[in-house]
Amino acid sequence: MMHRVLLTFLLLFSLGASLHAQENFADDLSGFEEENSLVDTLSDDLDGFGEESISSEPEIQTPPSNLSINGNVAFKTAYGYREHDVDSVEYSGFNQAQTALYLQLNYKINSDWKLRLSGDGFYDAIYDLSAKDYNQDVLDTYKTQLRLDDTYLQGRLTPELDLKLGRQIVIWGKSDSIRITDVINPLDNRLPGITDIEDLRLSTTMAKLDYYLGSWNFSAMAIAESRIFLEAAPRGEYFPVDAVFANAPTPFIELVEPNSSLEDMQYAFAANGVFSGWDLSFYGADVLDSRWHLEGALPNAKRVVSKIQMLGSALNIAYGSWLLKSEVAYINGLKYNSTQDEKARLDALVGFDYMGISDTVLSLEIANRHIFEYESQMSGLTLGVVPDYIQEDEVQTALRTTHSFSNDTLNATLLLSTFGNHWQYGGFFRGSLEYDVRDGVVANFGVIDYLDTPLQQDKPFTHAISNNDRLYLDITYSF
Amino acid sequence: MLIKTLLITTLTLSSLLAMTGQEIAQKVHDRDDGDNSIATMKMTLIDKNDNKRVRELKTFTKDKGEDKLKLMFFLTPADVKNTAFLTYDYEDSSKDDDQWLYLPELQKVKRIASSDKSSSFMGSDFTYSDMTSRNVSDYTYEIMKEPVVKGHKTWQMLVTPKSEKTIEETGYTKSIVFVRQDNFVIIQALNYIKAGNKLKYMMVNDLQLIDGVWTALEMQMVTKKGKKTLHKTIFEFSNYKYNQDLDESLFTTRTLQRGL
Repeated sequence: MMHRVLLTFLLLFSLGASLHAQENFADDLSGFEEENSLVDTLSDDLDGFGEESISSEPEIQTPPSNLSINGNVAFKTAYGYREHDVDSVEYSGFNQAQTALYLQLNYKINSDWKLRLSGDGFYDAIYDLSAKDYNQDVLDTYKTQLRLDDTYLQGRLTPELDLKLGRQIVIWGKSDSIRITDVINPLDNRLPGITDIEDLRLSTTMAKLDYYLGSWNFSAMAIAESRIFLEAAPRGEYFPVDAVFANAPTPFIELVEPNSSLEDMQYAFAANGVFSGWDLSFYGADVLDSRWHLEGALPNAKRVVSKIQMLGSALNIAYGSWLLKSEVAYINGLKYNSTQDEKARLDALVGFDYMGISDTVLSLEIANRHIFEYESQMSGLTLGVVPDYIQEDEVQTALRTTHSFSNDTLNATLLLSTFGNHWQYGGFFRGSLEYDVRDGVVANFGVIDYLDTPLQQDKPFTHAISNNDRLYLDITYSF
Repeated sequence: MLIKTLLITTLTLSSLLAMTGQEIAQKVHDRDDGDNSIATMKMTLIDKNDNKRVRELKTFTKDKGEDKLKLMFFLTPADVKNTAFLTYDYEDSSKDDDQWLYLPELQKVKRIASSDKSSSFMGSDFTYSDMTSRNVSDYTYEIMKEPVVKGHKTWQMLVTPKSEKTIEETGYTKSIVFVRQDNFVIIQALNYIKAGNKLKYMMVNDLQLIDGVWTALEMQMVTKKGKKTLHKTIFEFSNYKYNQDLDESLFTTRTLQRGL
C-alpha cells in the first residue's frame, strides 16, 4: 500500500514538474510572439519566406571609388592632480588642451597595387592659455606638430612576392605590452605610459619585400631613413634632467639625429610561420638602438644613437582559452655612458593571454634583460662617470585586463607595468574607460599613477616623474 | 501513377515521422550551406533605449574539406574600418578553431585563443559560438512538438548540451530550436544563457533560395531578461553570391594585413 502511495506521489510529482516545465517553456517561447510583432514594425519588406528561387545576378551598383579619405579629429585634455614642478614650472592642474587631426588617403591603383598617404598635426592651446614660463624645448616638443605618417606604395610583384615601399610600420614579436624583438620602428616617448598605442610607433622609410611559401612568410627590409625615438623635452615634466644628472648643462646635451645615407642603411630579415594552433617567428636586424648614449667628454659631449644587431625569435601557442607567448632576443653592439666597450644583452619574455571569461582578456607578460660583462659603475653614481642607472638584470612585468560591457559600448582596461623582480623600481598603473558615444565618436577617460621606487638613487628618473599622475580625457570623431 | 505518387508521399511522410531529434540535427548540420561565398553584411545593434549602431562588413567563406574558412572586413563605421577577422572553423570539435584579428590602428595581426565562444561577436547579441557550426554529437535532442511557424511546419526541439564543457564554451545551458520540415533550416531558436538568467531569441526574418542554397538574408537576436528587452542585433545580408572564385590563399593572415 505504502509502495503504491509513493509511486502515485512520484508520478503526480513528475507530471506536475513536467507540466511546470512546459509552462516555463511556453512562457519563454511567448517572447517570439512579441518579437514577431516587433519585426513587422522593424522591417516593412518581410514577405514571409518565399520559396521561389532568386537569381544571383549581380545587382546594378555604383562601383566603389578607388579613392578614399579617412581620418579623425580629437580633443585631448589632462589634469595633473599632484603638485610637482620642473624647471620652475608647476605642472599640476590642467596641463593639456590639444586638438589633433589625422588624415589618411588611400588610392587603389588596381587589384594588386595601392597607395597610402597619411599625416597628422596637433596644436595644444594650454601653452598659450597658461601664463607659465615653459622652456623652448617643452614648447617645441608639445605645443604643435605636423608630420607625415604612413606613406607607401604597396603591391604584388608576383603571386608570392609583395613589395611595400615608403614610410611604414613593421611590428615584430608576439607580446603586446613589452617590447623584446620589436626593434624596427622607433617609439614616441614624449608621454610615457599614456601615448595612444596607435601613435606609439613612428613610421620609417624602407623597402620591404615579402615572399610567401606555404605556411611561411619571409621578409627582407632595407631601411633608408635613420629615424630615432621622440624623447620627452629636457627640463620638461617627463625628463627632469636636473633631478637625474648632476650639473646637467643648459641647454641639455644635444641629441644628434643620425644621417640617412647609404652607409647608415639599416637591414632586417624575418621568417614568420603560421600553423594550426601556433606561430613561430625568427628575426635578424641591424638597426638603430632605442636609447641614446654619450659620446665625448663634457662640455663637448653629444648624445648619439648607435646601431645594434639583434637575433631573435617569438612563439605563440594557443591552448584552449590560453594564448602562450614567448620571445627571446640577443642584442649586440649596445653602448653605454659609463663603459668604454660595447655590451651584449639577452632579453627574454614569457606571458599569456587568457580569454576564458566572456568579453574579458587577462594578459600577463614578464621579461628579463640581462647585460653580459656587466660593470658595476653602470648601476649608479660613480665619481667622474656619467651614470646609466641600469642593473645587470632588469625585470619588467605587465599585467593587463580588459573587459567589454554593454555589447562593446564600454571597454574598461587596467594595466600595471612595473620594473624590478619585486616591482621595486617603480612603473605605472593605468585605468581607462572607453565609451562609444555613437558610431565614429569615442570618449576615453583614464587615470595614470606613476609608481615611485624606494631605491631612488638606483632609479632617479622613476622617482623624478612619480608625481606626474593625471586624469585624462580624449574625445575622437572618426570619419 | 496516382498510386505511385501516393506511395512515395506516404513513404516520405512516414520516413519524416520516424525521424529522431538526432537525425533531424544531423540533417540540419549536413544541409548544403553553399561554398565560396561573398556577401555584404549590415549589423545593426540596438540598445534598450532604441539607440542604434550600424556596422557594415564584407564576408568571404570557403569550405576546406569538412572545415570552413571565414574572412570578414569591417567597412564602416570609420573608427573600425579595415578591422579584419579570420577564422578556421574545424569540424573536429576536439580541435580548437584558429582565429586571428587584425586591428588597423596597431597594424598587427593578433592570434586569438578562445575555446570559450560565449563572448559577444563584435558587440552584437550573437556570440562566437552562434557564428560557428555546432557539433551534433555534443548535444541531446528531444522533439517537443511540430508547430507551424510563419506558415511553415517545424520541428520544435529541445537541444541540451551533453557536457559542462560545451555549456562553458557556448554559454548556453539549453536551446529550443524550430527546424523547418521542408528544408531543415533553423528559423527560430531560444537560447538559455548560463550567466544572468537571460534568454536570447534568434529569428530568421528573411530566408531565400540563392543558387540552390537556403540562405538567411536577415536574422535577428534579441537578449531578454524576463519580458524586458536588453539589447538586439539585426544581421542583413546583401549581394550574396555563391560559387565565387575564392582561392584558399585569400584566407590567410597576408590578406588581413593587405586589406581589401
